[in-house]
Amino acid sequence: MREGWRWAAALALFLAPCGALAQESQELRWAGDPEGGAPFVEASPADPSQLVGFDVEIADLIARRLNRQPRFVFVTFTSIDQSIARGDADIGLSGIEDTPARRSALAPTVPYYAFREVLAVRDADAGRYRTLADLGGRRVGTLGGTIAYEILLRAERDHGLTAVSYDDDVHPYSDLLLGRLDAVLLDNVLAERRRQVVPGFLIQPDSVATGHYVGVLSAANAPLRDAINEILKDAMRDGSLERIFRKWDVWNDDQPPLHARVIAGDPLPPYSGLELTSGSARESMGVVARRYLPALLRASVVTLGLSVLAMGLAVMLGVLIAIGRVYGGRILRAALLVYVEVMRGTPVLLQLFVLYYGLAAAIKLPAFAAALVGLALNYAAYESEIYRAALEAVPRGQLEAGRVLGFGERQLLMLVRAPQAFRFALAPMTNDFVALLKDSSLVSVLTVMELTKQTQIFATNIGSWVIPGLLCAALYLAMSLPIAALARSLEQRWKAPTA
Amino acid sequence: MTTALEVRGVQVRRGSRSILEDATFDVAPGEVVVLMGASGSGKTTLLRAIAGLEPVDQGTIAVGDVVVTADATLSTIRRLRSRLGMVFQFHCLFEHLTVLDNICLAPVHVHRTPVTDAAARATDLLRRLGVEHRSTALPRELSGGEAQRVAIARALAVDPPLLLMDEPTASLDPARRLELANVVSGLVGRDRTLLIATHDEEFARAVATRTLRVSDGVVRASA
Repeated sequence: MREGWRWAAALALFLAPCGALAQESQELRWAGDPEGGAPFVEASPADPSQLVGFDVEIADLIARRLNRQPRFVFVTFTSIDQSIARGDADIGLSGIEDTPARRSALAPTVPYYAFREVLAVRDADAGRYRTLADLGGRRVGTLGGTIAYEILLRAERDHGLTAVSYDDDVHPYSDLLLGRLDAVLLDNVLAERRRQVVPGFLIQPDSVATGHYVGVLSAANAPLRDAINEILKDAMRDGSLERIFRKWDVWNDDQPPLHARVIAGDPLPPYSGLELTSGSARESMGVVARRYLPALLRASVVTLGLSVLAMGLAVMLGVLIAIGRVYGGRILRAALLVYVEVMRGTPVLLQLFVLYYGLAAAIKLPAFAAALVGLALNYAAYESEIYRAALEAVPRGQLEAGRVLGFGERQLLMLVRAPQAFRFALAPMTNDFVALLKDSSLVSVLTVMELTKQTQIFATNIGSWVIPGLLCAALYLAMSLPIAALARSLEQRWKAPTA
Repeated sequence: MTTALEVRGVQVRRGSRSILEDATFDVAPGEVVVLMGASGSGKTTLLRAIAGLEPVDQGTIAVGDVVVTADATLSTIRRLRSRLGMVFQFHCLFEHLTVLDNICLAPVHVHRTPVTDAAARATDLLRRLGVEHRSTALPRELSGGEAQRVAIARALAVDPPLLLMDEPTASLDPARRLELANVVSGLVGRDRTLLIATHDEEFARAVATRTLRVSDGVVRASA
């Protein structure tokens, strides 16, 4: 009897995943990013628990015609490809561009919308900056990992402008109006939508390139992709897609020719109007890696420079805060405690956002300076606690001996307390520096092109994280291991007293 | 000046607890006065109060011409400290500095003695105390007896008229205690007065010119 029960339990365990699979197959899991996602995917202003947008409606249409229930899966825009490849969702739909890399690494659907890459400039600059060639020496922003970013990288070489990468499509326009950028290159859908919300800039009439939006599925999901392609073609034929696009006010003269060519089965290049080499399906991974290596090395210099400067500043501030907390009066101690708790108790990402975007109306810090100050202010709080504890770990008897010998408090600090405290603090300081080296990746939200961000762009463009990830890890280790070794050697040399 | 140290009606309290109830005594120049008493009797607190490390609630402490009262300013306390030295029970050497640097630190940075002069005097003190060979050692590398002698040398480096010693034999074996008694006897002179807190009767007999008993926070002349 007991043996029979065991078999039944084993069978139930075996069948359980099949049940889950069956359940999953009734759903169409579709991935998108609602952040700044209008008119693609966004939380409804009337009911934030509901998603709206033309991609939401296209997902509904596909799911309905597949007899499935649509289920939204939130994925950051720049991670949609990787998320689809690993099976987090069946299809990605969020204004995703058709690129050679996607065609080689994933199974994109037929194009369902044609867009134009357009240049947005401040009203006052309408006559000065008409094309990318007019923007030599100027800063031009866009969304990282997009065709527009590749165009800007090419324009960096050809016209001497500075390409600035953003994680979202909202802040480039706010920075344009704040004067941090001189132009923004993004597709016409995003540009038009931002212009309706934020006045003060215009869109130049000549487009820089044209491309298409596609849905992306994993290469293993090609049969589902084929079924979805038929659904999209049917929706083009019966006008369902047009109705959706008209509802969202994005239907224009570019769409009928695209739909006609898709229905006719004409082969379509991923984009036109530009010649880009990156991410080409014909290039081997090694060639692409070699091409990206200089950019990764430059980004490593940014990461290391930013980390060293931020740590230096954090150490100085941390020392002052620690001294204030150990020697200061009651009010100063309380104020410093509040600072430490606020900086430690809130995410550094939030602090960076507030510093760069939140305070932009009052203090317009350049991105690198904001990143430096943000990281330094945050880490100063952690450093100060290390130094405070280290100062307090110096035996009281030594301080009393010093006082009896005639030392003042300042002399005691400089000659007796601080040198010993430094040795106590060395190991945790090293840990913090290595942590800062890695946390510096957060400053990519402020458009600083550091190592992780550059790696992410690299990975997005080639459609794989393997080589970019390995190169990135090797570069981080090359920076952090010598620091750890140096700290170990100093610790050994200045071994703290045992008792 | 007839007294090296004058203590009058000193009271020290911690919260509601009285540590020193009434300490009144004089120490003449050149004397070696030993404060005897059981653990917790108030000996250490009395030495710390004299060194300005423990605030007094009542009474006066005078070292030479400097008088400290309950409301003394930091500047007065620092003037008092400039006239005395103290050897702590646990030595309290600066752990990050060598023996020589421990001894030279105050002469160089407090008294602005040239480094070479301070080093010469420190070396001389170490030689007299029999630990010259340990001048480059760090405190953690010293034995208890060596650390004790280095602590004495550090206190003497600024040549204080009054030297306070707290339980100097606490970490020493009997042979080392005898050695220390000889060292202490060698320190005494017309210009140097010693006040030593100990509960070591044998050591006290060997070094004391006078003994005071501390019991329940009250200081009395020994019977």
